[in-house]
Amino acid sequence: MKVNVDPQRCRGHARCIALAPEAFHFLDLEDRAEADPDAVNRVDAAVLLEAEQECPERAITVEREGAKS
Amino acid sequence: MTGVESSKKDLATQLDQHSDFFRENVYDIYKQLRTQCPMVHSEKWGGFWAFLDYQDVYDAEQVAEIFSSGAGKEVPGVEGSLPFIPIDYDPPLVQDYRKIALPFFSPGAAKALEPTFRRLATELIDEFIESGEADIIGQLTTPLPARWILQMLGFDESNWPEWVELIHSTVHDLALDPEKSGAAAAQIYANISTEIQKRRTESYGDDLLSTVMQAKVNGEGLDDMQILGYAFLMLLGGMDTTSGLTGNALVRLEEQPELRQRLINEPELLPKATEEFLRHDTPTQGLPRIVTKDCEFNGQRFAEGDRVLLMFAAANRDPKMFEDPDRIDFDRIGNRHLAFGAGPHRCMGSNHARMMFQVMMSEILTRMPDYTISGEVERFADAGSVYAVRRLPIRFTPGPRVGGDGAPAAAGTAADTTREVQAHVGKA
Repeated sequence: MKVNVDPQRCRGHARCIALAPEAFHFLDLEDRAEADPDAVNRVDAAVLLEAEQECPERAITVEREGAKS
Repeated sequence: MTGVESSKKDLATQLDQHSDFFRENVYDIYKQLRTQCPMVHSEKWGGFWAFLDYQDVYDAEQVAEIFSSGAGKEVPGVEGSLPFIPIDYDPPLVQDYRKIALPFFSPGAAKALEPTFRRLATELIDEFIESGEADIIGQLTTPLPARWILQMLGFDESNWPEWVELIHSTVHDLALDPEKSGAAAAQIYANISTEIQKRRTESYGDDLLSTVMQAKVNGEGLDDMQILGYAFLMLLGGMDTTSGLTGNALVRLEEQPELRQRLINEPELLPKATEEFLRHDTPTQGLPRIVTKDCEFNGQRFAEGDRVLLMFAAANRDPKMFEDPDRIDFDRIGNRHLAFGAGPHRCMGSNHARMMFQVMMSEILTRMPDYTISGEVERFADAGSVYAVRRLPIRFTPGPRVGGDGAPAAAGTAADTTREVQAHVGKA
């Protein structure tokens, strides 16, 4: 599982932070979120997909690696 | 809506977001107009556009070089008003000036304030819980956000009733009684000036006003007009919209008891329900922009100087974006609502608004789960800026006070809040 937050699109709505605090962290002074590359594999895929679908700026992309899963 | 079907054109050209008709029929009006033309042009207030569809509102939010937040955008126009900062600036200035207050408004800062909000809610509810009745707007949802923003600014929170009255007048009397609104704004500027002078002659504190006064943007401090505009915006944001959302949600839970029961049974649903109330019962109906140049945008011609209202509340009911948009669905997937706007102007207080809303709702559903609305739901007359309940009388089974034996919780609250926020800001 690979999660990316586009820094150009993210406007700091923090919906992902509320949904999956283990997978995203917030850069206060830049007013935007980042995905935590180590944590994302420990988080339920459904929650990550929800974060992707709830982001008002469509800044989050979730990719399943290969076709294994 | 008698006569509306036969005069859809009039509905568009006569659209007046400050009218009684608008307040009473707001979502029917959006629905009617959307089928006709989602970019509406009204002849009222000197002429203005209103965008109703999600995509148009979202796209316009992203192109500040066309849809500017600069001077002249208000509908109706406001003469000689100072800019509110940072909201009345365009990029890149809006981001530069937002930075000053960002540490106070981050998701982490909001989370750190949860115990403070809960203490404040407990204390406010204790004042009426034994009586079995309250005006929940006047006694909880208004004072809680108001007292918090005053604490944050380092002002005397016990003056919240005066501040709230002044802020409500500037917002809600703007179109209908501009003289009264102007007088209220002048009083607010005078009160903030007193606070500024106090800090200059005594000393700066850890509060938000002191932070704004000492901030530098691109190497320059803010001038007095900018400091006033910044503090004014913080008061505006803190004193109106969060109460509006909470009041709107409480009315919905009365109309749809099955939703209330679900929130009581499954309190973990509250965060998702919060987003759905923000979408379905958006307090800030829309905000204005001014077009910077003759251009075509999403298939429509615009002229330099055109004023455009971005109607977030209408976008949030767009059936192209939200399935069954008029239904409140706590399980909704893909709720990318625009209640806080989008793009560079995304509401800076959104994290705190959510947290205060959730604390107030959970306290109400825990301590007054059987509340019923016992009188008229009185709304602010002018819904064009903020669609909100002004007075909401409720009855409920009386309960016990739960705060520490008469200890004045408020006395500790201001200092506690400052410490909690400072602790967090220090870490940021």
